[in-house]
Formats: sequence, C-alpha cells, structure tokens
Amino acid sequence: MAGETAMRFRVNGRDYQVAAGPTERLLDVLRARLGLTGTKEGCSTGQCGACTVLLDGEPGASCMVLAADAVGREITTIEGIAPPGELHPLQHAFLEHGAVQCGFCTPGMILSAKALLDRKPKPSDEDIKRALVGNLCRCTGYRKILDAIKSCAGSTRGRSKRVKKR
Amino acid sequence: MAEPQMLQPSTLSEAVKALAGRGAVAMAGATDLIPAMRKGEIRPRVLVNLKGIAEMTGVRRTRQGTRIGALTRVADLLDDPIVAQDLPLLADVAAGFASPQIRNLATIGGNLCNAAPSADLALPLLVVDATAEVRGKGGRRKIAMSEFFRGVNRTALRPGEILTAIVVPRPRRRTGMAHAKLGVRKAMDLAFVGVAATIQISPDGKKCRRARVALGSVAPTPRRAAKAEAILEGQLVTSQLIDEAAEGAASESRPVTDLRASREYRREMTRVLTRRALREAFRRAGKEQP
Ligand SMILES: Cc1cc2nc3c(=O)[nH]c(=O)nc-3n(C[C@H](O)[C@H](O)[C@H](O)COP(=O)(O)OP(=O)(O)OC[C@H]3O[C@@H](n4cnc5c(N)ncnc54)[C@H](O)[C@@H]3O)c2cc1C
Ligand code: FES
Ligand code: FES
Repeated sequence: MAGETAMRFRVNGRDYQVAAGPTERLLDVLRARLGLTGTKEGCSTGQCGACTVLLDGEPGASCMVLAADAVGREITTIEGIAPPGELHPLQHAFLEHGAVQCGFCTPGMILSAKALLDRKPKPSDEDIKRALVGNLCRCTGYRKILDAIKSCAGSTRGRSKRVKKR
Repeated sequence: MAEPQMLQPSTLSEAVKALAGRGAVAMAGATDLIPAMRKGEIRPRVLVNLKGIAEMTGVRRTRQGTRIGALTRVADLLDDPIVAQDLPLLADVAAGFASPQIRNLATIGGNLCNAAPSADLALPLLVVDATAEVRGKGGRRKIAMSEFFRGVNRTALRPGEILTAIVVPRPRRRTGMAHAKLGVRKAMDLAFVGVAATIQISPDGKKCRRARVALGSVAPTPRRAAKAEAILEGQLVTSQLIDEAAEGAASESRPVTDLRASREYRREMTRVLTRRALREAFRRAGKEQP
C-alpha cells in the first residue's frame, strides 16, 4: 500500500519490523500486523479501555495512538505480562475471584491494575477505582474485579505463577 | 482516507516551516485529532508531530511566572511538584480529566488549541490570567488566555502558529481558588457545566479585592464571567453578594441544548456551581497567610 513505511516496534521485550501506514493506529498494528489479539477493540473512541496497553509502563488507549508515535516506546500487551504457559498473579486472581465473564474487558482491566500496582503496591479501594475509571465492563460488574485486584495488593511485583495447561 | 504523511521536527523553526506546507496540521497527543480524522472532519495531508520539540516540554519557574510547556501531558500536571505548589487548581482539574489512558496521551497545548467549549484545562488558566506563548512565521508573540478562544474549535492562533507554552503569573497573596464540574459520571465525562473561580481578599479578610470567574460548556468557548467579577470586586463578601454574582454568571452564560443537557438546566447549574466555587474560593482565601 502506498504510504507504508518500515517501522520498528518494541513489544513485550521483542523488536518487530513492520510496514505500516503512519496514521494506522497502534491497536491495528498490534492486532492485524502482529497477531496480538489479546488487545481488544471496543469503542474505538478512547472511552472503554478494552484496547489498553502499557506504554513505558503507563496505561494508554491504543486506539488513540498513531503507529508512528509508538516507535521507540516500550509497549506491553496482555500477552507480555507473564512467560508463555504461566499466569501473572493478577490473571490468576481474576480467575479465582470470578472476575471474568465474557473476558472482553479483562486484558485492559489487568493492564490498568498492573500499572497501578507497579506504581503503588498497596493501593486503597479508592486508588483502585480511580485507576479503573477508563475501563468499562458490561457483564461481570466491578465488585469482583475490585476484589481480585485487592487480593494482589502488595504481592505482584514482577512475579508470576505457573499454571497447568489444560 | 488518503494516508497523511507524518513529519517529526525536533526544533520549533523546523516545525514552523513544516506547518507552512499545504494541508499541514499540528499534532500533539492526537486524542482530539484521531477521532476528527476518523470522522472525516479533517483530512490533513501532513501531520506535524510536535512531540520531539524539547523547548515545548517541562514545567519550570521563570521571572514571568510558572512556565508550562504546551506538550505537558495531563498526567504530568497531576504529578508535577511545581504545579502542585503554584497552581494546585490545575492539578485538581487534571485529576478529573478523562481516564489514566487518555491523561497519559493528552497534552495541555492540545486541550487549549482544540478549543472545545468544554476544554477543562482552560478554566483554571483563565482565572489566573495566564498567557499563551506562541511562535509562527512572524516570530514569537503572547496572547492573554482571555483572548485565546474565538469560537467552537477556533483560537487566536494564526495559520501555522504553534502554542509553545503557557505562563502563569506567580500566585497572588490572600487568594483562594476553587472549581466545580458537573457531568453524569465523576470521571470520563465531558462536563455539562464547569466553573473555576479565584477571590483575592483584603488584608482584613472581608472585602473582595479581585475576582475571576470562568465558565466552561455554557458558551461557544470557555470564557470569563465579567459580570460576576464586577459584582464582587471591591465589595464586602457576604453570602448574598455571592448569590448575586452567581446569578450574574448564569445570566451571561449562553448555553445550548444538546444530548447531554438542556439549555435551561445548564444555566441553572451555572448559577449553582458558580456559587459553590465562589464560596469555596472565599473560604480558602481566608486560610491563606496574610
Ligand atoms: C475518551 C476521551 C475523553 C476526554 N475527556 C476530556 C475531558 O475530560 N476534558 C477535556 O477537556 N477534554 C477531554 N478530551 C479531549 C482531549 O483529550 C483533550 O482536548 C486533549 O487535551 C487534547 O490534547 P492532545 O494533545 O491529544 O491534542 P491533539 O489531538 O494532538 O490536538 C488537538 C488540536 O490542537 C492542535 N494542536 C495541538 N497542540 C498544538 C500546539 N502546541 N500548537 C498549535 N496547535 C496545536 C491540533 O492541530 C489539533 O487541532 C477527551 C478525549 C477523549 C478521546
Ligand atoms: S477501543 Fe480504545 S478505548 Fe475503547
Ligand atoms: S467480562 Fe465482559 S465486559 Fe467485562
């Protein structure tokens, strides 16, 4: 396609060389070009949080970032928070607490929560709610999500749990 | 959509040159630009990404006051120690702005240059008499915040001009500031009505020396409420005077009815929120060191 240029992205600690249009969104690069479909597209207008990724450790809406603007940044998606075959403690806690129904909001919820816990390992309930204002869930409800995150307070930094593959 | 080209200048003079090109549009956090491009409201041929321009970043104190680079992100306003000291109202407003996912992208310069009637960051800047520093083909100039907004999505910037920084004068003594915002949700919602106010009191704490009131979402642009200010200045502050000023603000609002709220409701809420903000500003002014 005309206007595509080679760009280098750093995603989940790996470098990828991708040809993309400069105004393609980071969301499109992740899903369509790199096959990282854990990042979801909900509203496409910055309001639902399903497309949340971490940019240099901070949550950002990947539907509101142009690909060319993400070059040179450390991008983390839900696929990158635990080694293959393992779950991050937050992922484990979401399962344990029944905080996942359809799962569409879950990657974004978990990344927002991870960014919070990395910055503030023992957040208050209010801190957690504030960190999640940009993540909408239309099936589970927020109670169980809050409980799952609370159960990880003070314990998640950098560790992940091995889970059995079913 | 024809793909626009993206240029990434690293100095202001390069950016000014790039913006002189046909169909060139400045870009910062792109949180207003991306939706506008997707809806086809704008079709830039060239996007001039300003984010590599060091001169437009950071918050520091200068002789003129506190200088906030136009590229400062809303998230940075929340955390910045200088902003916390010199203009805590701006940090407060930043805390209620969108969500972390948007605050980490959106810039203060983009918020002002987009010039939405609901631009949240405009209100605290209007009530402290901030100044915009701009740079264009004709060199540098300054624009008072109260002259900056010209209409829905229209500013006093000339074609190709760049907002480089906002300068906030040193905090005044015996001055209290407050704001109030009303929307459906506490977060992630454009306000129906936003109000910011400052009151400087006399040394005996009774009179209003200087008042500023700014209104958001109730006119084509964020704007000062001159009537309300005139009612307050030089007078003994009583709860009746504050009611009168709030009434004044409501009478000079020019709200519209849209999906979010009716005209009448917005006007009434302008009165209520102005009263609330003024009372709080007055209370805070009394607590300042004389
Ligand atoms: C989900 C969502 C929630 C939002 N919530 C809020 C909210 O609560 N309150 C609020 O006020 N806004 C809100 N916004 C609007 C938007 O995020 C803000 O207006 C933001 O500050 C724009 O900044 P930006 O850096 O992203 O601007 P851009 O999109 O990069 O630019 C906006 C406009 O300004 C121009 N521009 C940008 N920087 C400069 C400069 N330095 N010099 C000259 N021109 C420039 C661009 O050409 C463009 O026309 C929200 C947006 C979204 C998507
Ligand atoms: S898809 Fe990006 S916030 Fe909804
Ligand atoms: S689990 Fe379905 S949207 Fe949250």
